[in-house]
Amino acid sequence: MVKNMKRMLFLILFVCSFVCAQRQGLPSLFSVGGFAVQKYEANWANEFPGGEDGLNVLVSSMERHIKDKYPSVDLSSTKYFNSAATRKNFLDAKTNNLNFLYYHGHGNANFITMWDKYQYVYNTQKKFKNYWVMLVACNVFRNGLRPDGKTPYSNQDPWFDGVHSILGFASIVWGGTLSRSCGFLNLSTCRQHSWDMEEEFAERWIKNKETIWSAFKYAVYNQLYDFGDKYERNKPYLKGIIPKIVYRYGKINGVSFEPYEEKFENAYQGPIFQNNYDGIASRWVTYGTPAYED
Amino acid sequence: MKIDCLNRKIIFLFIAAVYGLVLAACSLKDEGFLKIKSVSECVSDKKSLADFGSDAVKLYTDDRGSRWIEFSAMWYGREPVNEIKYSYSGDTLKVELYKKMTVAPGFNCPVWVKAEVHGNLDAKYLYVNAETFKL
Repeated sequence: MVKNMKRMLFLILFVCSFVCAQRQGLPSLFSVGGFAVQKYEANWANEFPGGEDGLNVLVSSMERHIKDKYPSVDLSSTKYFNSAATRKNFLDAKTNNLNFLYYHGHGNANFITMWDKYQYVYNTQKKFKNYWVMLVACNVFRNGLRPDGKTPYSNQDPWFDGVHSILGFASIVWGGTLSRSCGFLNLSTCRQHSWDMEEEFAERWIKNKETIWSAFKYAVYNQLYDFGDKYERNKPYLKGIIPKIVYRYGKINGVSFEPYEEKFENAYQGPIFQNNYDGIASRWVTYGTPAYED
Repeated sequence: MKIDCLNRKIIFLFIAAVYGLVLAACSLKDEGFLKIKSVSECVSDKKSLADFGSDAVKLYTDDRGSRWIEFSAMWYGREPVNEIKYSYSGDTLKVELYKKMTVAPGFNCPVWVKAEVHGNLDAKYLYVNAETFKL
């Protein structure tokens, strides 16, 4: 009797190890999209250039590389621009259906800014269930302590409810187009677009199969910082930048996993570390001399 | 001959008058109805202009007789303001801080603006960054 029960238990565990295990690999459907608040309702906040292009470029680049590399993956996209990028839409549960959620707009430690007048989304008001989130906004993940010397500027854990990792910034980030004279007798105009970061990120992560953190930090370095001395760094926010990734870590299927290493083609499918996880961690890199308040 | 000469004088006077008007208009534009004296750094821990309430605007005359207006507005932190645009809508003075920018930081915060008032401020309300304040 006892022997039979042991056999039964073993069988259940054996079957469960296949059925209950979190699957790794490609999704059958990949949905990408997000929110770009470039202009604000009645100009209650000032324009943040580059948002519309950032969202368009990210979506089109991801879709292009997925079609090239993984043609079996179905694609869908959703974009909310300016007046559609409301707080209500951002908090709506259907945004959780996006595998990759993008946001571009003004921000500061622990919050982002939506289209509608005086509407913010704080870290305690949105729990991401998406696989990945990218917040192109200033200071949301700012490091260090507030002037009281006790309170951290940012608290990242409240944003998490299954999201594998969140990409963002611990400093000011810029958007728009830099231009300079170049070419023969300086008669031409060369331009550096902030949305080239989104393009390079998609290429590195999906086409080149880099880890998500590697793709992000090098894309930021190349496109938002190392545009060289060719362009005048005449603004404090052009002198440095801090890209950052935040994630919960622990064991999945009995194996330790830190989501900063996640690659597109063998990503865990579904939310992770909603309840059982060992802790929250972040990685960042400081390029140049970043600014925080302009 | 006399008529020709008179015509020339009239033409000259007309041109002079037009030139004078253009010059006057330009100098008025340069002078500005509101002339920025200072823009503060970011006001800490204030997230929107609504937080300022009725304290958002001050209008006063100093000891020297100069009239000043101080108000809060959303701006890109320490980025200098190049221009202050204004227009009237009924009894509301609409004000906009302006700078032509092809790149900008993803950061906005309330700042204090101090501007000198030149001429008559014929308004009861100030509208700035989608908020209306009583003067």
